[in-house]
Amino acid sequence: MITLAHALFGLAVTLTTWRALTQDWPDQFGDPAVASALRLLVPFAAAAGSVLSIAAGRLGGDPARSFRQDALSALGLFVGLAFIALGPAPRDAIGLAAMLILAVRLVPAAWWTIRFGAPPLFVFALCLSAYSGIATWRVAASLPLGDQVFYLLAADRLTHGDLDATIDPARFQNLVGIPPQPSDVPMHVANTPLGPRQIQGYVLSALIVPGWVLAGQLGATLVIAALAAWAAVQTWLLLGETVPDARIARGTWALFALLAPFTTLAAHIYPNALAAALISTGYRYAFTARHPRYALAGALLGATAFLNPRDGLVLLTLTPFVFAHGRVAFTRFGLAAVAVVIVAALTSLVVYGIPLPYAGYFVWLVAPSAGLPPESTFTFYFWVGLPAMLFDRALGVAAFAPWLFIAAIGAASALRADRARLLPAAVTVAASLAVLSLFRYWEGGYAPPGRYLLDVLPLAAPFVAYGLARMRSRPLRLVAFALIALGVVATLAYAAVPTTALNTAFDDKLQEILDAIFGASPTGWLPSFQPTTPDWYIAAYLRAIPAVAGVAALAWLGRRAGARS
Amino acid sequence: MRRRARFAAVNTFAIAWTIFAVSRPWVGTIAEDPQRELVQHTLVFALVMAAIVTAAISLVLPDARCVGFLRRHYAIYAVAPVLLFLLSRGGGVTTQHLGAVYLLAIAAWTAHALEGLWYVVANLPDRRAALTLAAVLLVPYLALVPYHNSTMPTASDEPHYLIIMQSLVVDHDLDLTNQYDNESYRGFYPDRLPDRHVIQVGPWQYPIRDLGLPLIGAIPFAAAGRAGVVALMGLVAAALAAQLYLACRDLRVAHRPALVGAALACLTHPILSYTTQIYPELLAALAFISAARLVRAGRSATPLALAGAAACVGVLPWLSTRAALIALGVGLVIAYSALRPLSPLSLAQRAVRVAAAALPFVALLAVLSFVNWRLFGLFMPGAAYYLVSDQQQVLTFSPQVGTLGLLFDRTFGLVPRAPIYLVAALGLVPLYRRRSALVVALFLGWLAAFIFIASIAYWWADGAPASRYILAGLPFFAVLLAAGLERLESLHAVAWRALAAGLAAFSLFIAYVFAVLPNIRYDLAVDIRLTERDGQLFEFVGRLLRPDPAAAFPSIVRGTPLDYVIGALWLALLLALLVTGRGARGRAPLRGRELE
Repeated sequence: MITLAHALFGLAVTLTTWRALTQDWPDQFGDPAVASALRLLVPFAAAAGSVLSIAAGRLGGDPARSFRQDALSALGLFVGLAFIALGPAPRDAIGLAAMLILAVRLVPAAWWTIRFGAPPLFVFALCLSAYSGIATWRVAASLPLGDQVFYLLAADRLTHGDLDATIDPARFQNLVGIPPQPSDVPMHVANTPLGPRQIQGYVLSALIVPGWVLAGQLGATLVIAALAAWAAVQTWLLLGETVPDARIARGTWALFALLAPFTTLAAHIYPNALAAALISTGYRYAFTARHPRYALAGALLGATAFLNPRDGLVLLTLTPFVFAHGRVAFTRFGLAAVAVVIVAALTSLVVYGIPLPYAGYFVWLVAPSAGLPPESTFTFYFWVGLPAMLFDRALGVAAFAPWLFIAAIGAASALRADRARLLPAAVTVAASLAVLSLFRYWEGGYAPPGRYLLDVLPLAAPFVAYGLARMRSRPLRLVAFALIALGVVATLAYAAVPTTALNTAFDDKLQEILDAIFGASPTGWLPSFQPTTPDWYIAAYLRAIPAVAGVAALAWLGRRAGARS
Repeated sequence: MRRRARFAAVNTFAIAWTIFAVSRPWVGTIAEDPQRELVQHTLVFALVMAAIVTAAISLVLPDARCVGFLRRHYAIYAVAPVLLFLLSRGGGVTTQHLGAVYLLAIAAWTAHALEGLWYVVANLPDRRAALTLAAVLLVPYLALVPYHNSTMPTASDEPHYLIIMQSLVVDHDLDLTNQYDNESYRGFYPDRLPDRHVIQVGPWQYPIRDLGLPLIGAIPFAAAGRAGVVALMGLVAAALAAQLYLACRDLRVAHRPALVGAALACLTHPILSYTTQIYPELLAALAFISAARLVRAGRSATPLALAGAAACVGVLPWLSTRAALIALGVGLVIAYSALRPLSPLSLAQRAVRVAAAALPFVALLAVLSFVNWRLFGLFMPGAAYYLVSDQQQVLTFSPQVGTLGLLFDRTFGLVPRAPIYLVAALGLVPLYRRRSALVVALFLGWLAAFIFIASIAYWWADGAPASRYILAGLPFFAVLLAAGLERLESLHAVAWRALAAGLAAFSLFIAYVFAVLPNIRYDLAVDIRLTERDGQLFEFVGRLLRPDPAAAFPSIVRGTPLDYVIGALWLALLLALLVTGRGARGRAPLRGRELE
């Protein structure tokens, strides 16, 4: 009876908001994209919130409580809608309201999930709802800049059965509002013996084709959201399998799944969410699942051969650890991985005319070419790339997800507690950081920050969980709270103002927002590793000292606490 | 002690950081004065008030609950970054957008504070609970003042009341000629006033408006102008909330329904709306409930209580001629209580009782009549209105129309703006069964005034926010509301509670919308008739809710046959609720106090 009433309530809220937004007042804002996004996003948030609440109530055995929370959340939705209906406002203000509406509708279900746990399907639905909402607003408020437009163009060509990657200036301009730049060709188009091909491969473009056909850029982004939700579910399972304290595991999952960079990259058209899903699933089946499936793990990790060399590195890093599991396990893993890699090589042969995985990268991108800066993709300046990835105030972890440093305090105790299952993860993350630090574009180009890190990010989750478990004293809890709060603010900023996530070397949009809202940015003291002045490195390394010291202190505390216990 | 010291330290730090953030140079360059004022002054003021009251509530909380309560308070500081974010996004953000965020934070804090009080209210002495409730409500009332004053100029009768205060403070007289001539009212009214609310007596222009509010408001006006008077209204509303809670407790309404009923009444329209309005009705409501409470012992009332009640009733004609009708109803109870004491008394004692019950009222009435005689040459209360009564028809003697309009009219009625008052119908019979002089006083006071108001040709009182005329009698509805909520507890069906929660949510939402957009509180009946619009409130709410909720209510101002049918249906619903409340006796659990 309560469930029926709840369903009727959800239906009423959804229809009411849908009908309210079909009126002409959203059009008076003067931005058709914003009006369209609101017409999709708000009724969707209303419906998703109620459906998830109903499911949570039934799963938790307390449908009345779930109904009450959903009703309160619906009140929040109408308050948010009232804010939007007040009249024309800057797009960023509407974005903030829209994201808060989405949050307020999903908070009850998220709370149930974190408090009591939930089956993976529910976790998937929750994440998909959150990411879809964020993606809907991202498409309305931001252009598919960077590599995104090329994935879309390739998807469009694929719908016509065509692999030709020649940039269509009209389509390009239609998607991003500016003509293609000269440097776009050598960065994205490989002149292969079989014709112009996309350097970055076609897997992602092929995956987003259904979404592209159904709903254009939004549909394509929703496919990415689904892939990210898959990765989030695998993170949930990984934490459940490796962290003894279930509540801390679920709380840690919330940090990973519901904060940047996961939420940001779930709404941008990049292959990193797919890579994260493949790697985390493969890792689980190889190392942490109750019933290991080495062949499946090998196939999934082997599938990274379709993506890019950074992800292929994970396969190489993990293979020796699988070897330690015994000959049978290694054989299954190896055979499956090799089979998939061979398929990837054959695909490259068909696409590029070269039977080599990552042919686009190895043959055309790494080699110097006209239109690109003279330096190679690799700089081997790891003393720049590594601290930059960690501490750069615009694009480093410290800027957008400082809570990840909680892993420093948990690493020692995690490895001590479960070395066999967590050491491969630690080595993989470290190897990825080491290799990425050699990249000239360590920040991932004109893309949301943490793009490259996302691929292996789920593997860092257990260490953060162990770190949280260690942070029991009041000062450490305050530190954890501050780090998480900064992550929440960054997430909200990226979601409400998606352009904040896209920065050139001279931009620092997140810091500008933090400066404005806090008076002075709490992370403004961090270094900048962008060589915008001749003596940039002096300030950068001086400023990096306290940051390194802070992380070192956390690691030392973690080791000391672990030794005591 | 350590916990509270930590709370003080954290709040000091957070407020200091807020002041630092809102004082950055770029904030000073914001072109809109109200926006800058909101973030640089109003916000800080509200945060300080909220911290103080949270600390006060924590004093009555048990340790186990106190920790979470104090920690939850810190969430209010998130409002500053959100406001600064909106301001930092370049031009285009309006003061209303900022106000929506600011007032939402205040609303959330109020809910937080009331939730804290809810858990301990049954363990507190009634007076302490009432004072704490008043302190909690004072925060939203005072927090609303600067925002309202910066976005909404005075309107309708408000500037005229202020002009009287100005004359009292500056000239020490009631001749308003120079105020109107010099346009010295420009400080609180942005334009030249289109008319003068005066009666010309020789060379002097004396106010038509009742003098009670100007006399009481003169000192706050001298201190802070319009803001001072509006702050006074906030204090009056807070006192009203305390009195309402105490009245509910006097009537043996359980602690929590009493708390929720009083809070809901004071946080919804019309009471919340009128905390920012310069009208005497809130003061009249306070005098009404105070008089009724003083006489709650009925025939056992002491002479001092009778004198206090008579004084409160005697204030009513000073405040508003319409509210004087309340004095008639309450006066009957005072007189009956004085003349028919419960225990046998000597003649002298009887004389003292009668004198105590009569003299304050008579004295106040005589002084008012004397002032009127000096001003207008008529020794009577309400002389000014009497002198102008031939200028327009006041009474139509059709209270059935006015009743429907005052309760259900979609533009000017109470229920469309605060449907939570429907729950009051559930409480009528249970309250009647308590057999208290307080109920009789409240009922008679309300009835006399309501019938009179419903008979007025312009019952809608346009120009001011809706329900102005029934505001003075609203304490009766508020007490009924608390009783209705208590009755709801014994109606076990979840649907009833869900319905009440929905009505409360809608009522609070409307109050919030009115607070954010004060300009939509004003509709003109002539516009409604000519344009067939639903009024500004439902034009806004209709953007958010479909189908249009206005269609559920009649427009008695227009008065088509269909409107009367819809109005009659609402009245039937009210009666059905009343009957539902009547069935409580058999099922309602007996409470300790009822057994005494």
